[in-house]
Amino acid sequence: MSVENAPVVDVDEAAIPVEKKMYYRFESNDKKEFRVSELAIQQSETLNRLVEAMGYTSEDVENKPAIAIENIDGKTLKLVFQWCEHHKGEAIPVDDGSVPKIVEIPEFDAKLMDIDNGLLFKLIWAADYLNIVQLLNVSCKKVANMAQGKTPAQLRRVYLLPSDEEDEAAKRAAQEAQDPRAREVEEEFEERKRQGGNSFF
Amino acid sequence: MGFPILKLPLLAIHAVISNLQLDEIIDFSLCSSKCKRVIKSIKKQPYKSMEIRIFFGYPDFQFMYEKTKGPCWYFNNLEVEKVLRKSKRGEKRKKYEIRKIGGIKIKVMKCEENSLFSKQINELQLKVIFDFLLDLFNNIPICRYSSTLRVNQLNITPEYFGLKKCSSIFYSFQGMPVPDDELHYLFENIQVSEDITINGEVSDEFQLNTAKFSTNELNIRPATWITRDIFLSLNCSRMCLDYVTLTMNDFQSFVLQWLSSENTSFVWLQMSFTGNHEPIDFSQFQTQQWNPKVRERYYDLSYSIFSRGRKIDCLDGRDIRRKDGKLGTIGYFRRKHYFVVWNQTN
Repeated sequence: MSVENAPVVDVDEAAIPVEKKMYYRFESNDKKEFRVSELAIQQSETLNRLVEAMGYTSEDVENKPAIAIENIDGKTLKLVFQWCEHHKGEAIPVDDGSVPKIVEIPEFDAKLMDIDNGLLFKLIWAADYLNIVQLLNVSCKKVANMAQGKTPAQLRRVYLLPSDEEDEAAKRAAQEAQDPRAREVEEEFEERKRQGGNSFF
Repeated sequence: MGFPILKLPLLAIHAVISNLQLDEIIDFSLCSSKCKRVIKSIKKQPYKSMEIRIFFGYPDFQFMYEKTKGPCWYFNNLEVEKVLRKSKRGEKRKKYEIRKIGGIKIKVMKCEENSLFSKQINELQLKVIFDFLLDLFNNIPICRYSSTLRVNQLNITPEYFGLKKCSSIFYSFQGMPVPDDELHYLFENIQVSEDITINGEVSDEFQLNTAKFSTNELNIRPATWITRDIFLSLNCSRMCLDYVTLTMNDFQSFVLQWLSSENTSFVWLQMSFTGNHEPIDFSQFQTQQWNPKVRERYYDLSYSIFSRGRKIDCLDGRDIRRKDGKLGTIGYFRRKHYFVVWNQTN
């Protein structure tokens, strides 16, 4: 099934399914609504527990407000639910601690994740928050693939890794922002050291 | 646009790193102190253990997964040249790149199997790399230390690596004896849990005052330096001692010692003598001939490095039974004396 044909769609774009399956309604933080099948929801441990705890009937789903997912936007949530619908019914991988970890990215997932790094970043955060193990695996594998054949200097650019010096400067800046007096004290201390003074106070 | 990996949740960062290969993990760790800390913080390490292989005087650090071999950091010129030749034959030629590890510049070449190659390395650089790997992978266990065909390229010994613990030691020397100092360190300082194999000459002067091996398997060839005291204090399950200078009386004492003990870990001993030796004196034991209703005819020497898959014909062996019912067999097969304990008897 192609990404485009995946059953998860914004509520205003899709017909309500005719099968007698339970479809839950979810709302993103930018007020986009999605209908997701019960089976697809099982891919997310977080959502699965949530709907189990709510104990909604089919009428509740229609009559009560959509379940709000407040820290994920519509664009990201659409990808998440498309992924869940495509992989519904599949076993959730269990980490048995064995190495090497072998993760293959299926064609559907590769196409779904053919997105910019900003959206991929949000997708991983969403997979982590919603505890969707396999989506987290494949999305992290995609990020890992970015390292192939790179030198440390290239890795710094690919993964936006600050050097030790940059980390140190950022730490100092953060400290100064917290306490503006700190810089003055430090400067005074340095000045006294230059003048050969032994004691600061 | 880059990908801000360190801003991901920790679980996701670890998931990304668990998908990186050895060369990528090392390069990632070299990006900054924070990157190194992130790798060290992973509870489930990407590799189970590391093997140190010394071949023609140069080591390789072979990483191991659960049961299979993983990538390797080669320093052996032969291996490096093999890969270089391969890459010249059509594949994209690999280049050496400089990495700064522990403040020291090291030439590194990456290869297809995610292994690394470094050549013209000196002892200091090697130690820096070893310490760096040990630190990066949180004191990864050393599963095996092997040294074969010794040539004095670099003076590398287990002591050089500060090795104190490992599962397996394998030495196979030809043309020169295993240095006394190295053997002393090996037997007196390293706790070996699985097997020790020393296949090579030792100097005539070599002697151990005391040694109480408690490894699972011991293979010594030649075992001329094994004294009676050492022999009787061995606490190994399987022992293969070739060309001992012991006497048949020592062999008998070993059997008597087992008979009067409650030792349940001993499995078999196989030994050959140098020169002529007196026949075994069975009058010291209450023995019985083989009875097919009591035990099998063939004894399986499985597990041993030297005798994997081999079986001893115990047709002419003499059986002895211990107080607790354990059955042992003393015998001679293909110019070797053996004493085996049966796992299953009737």
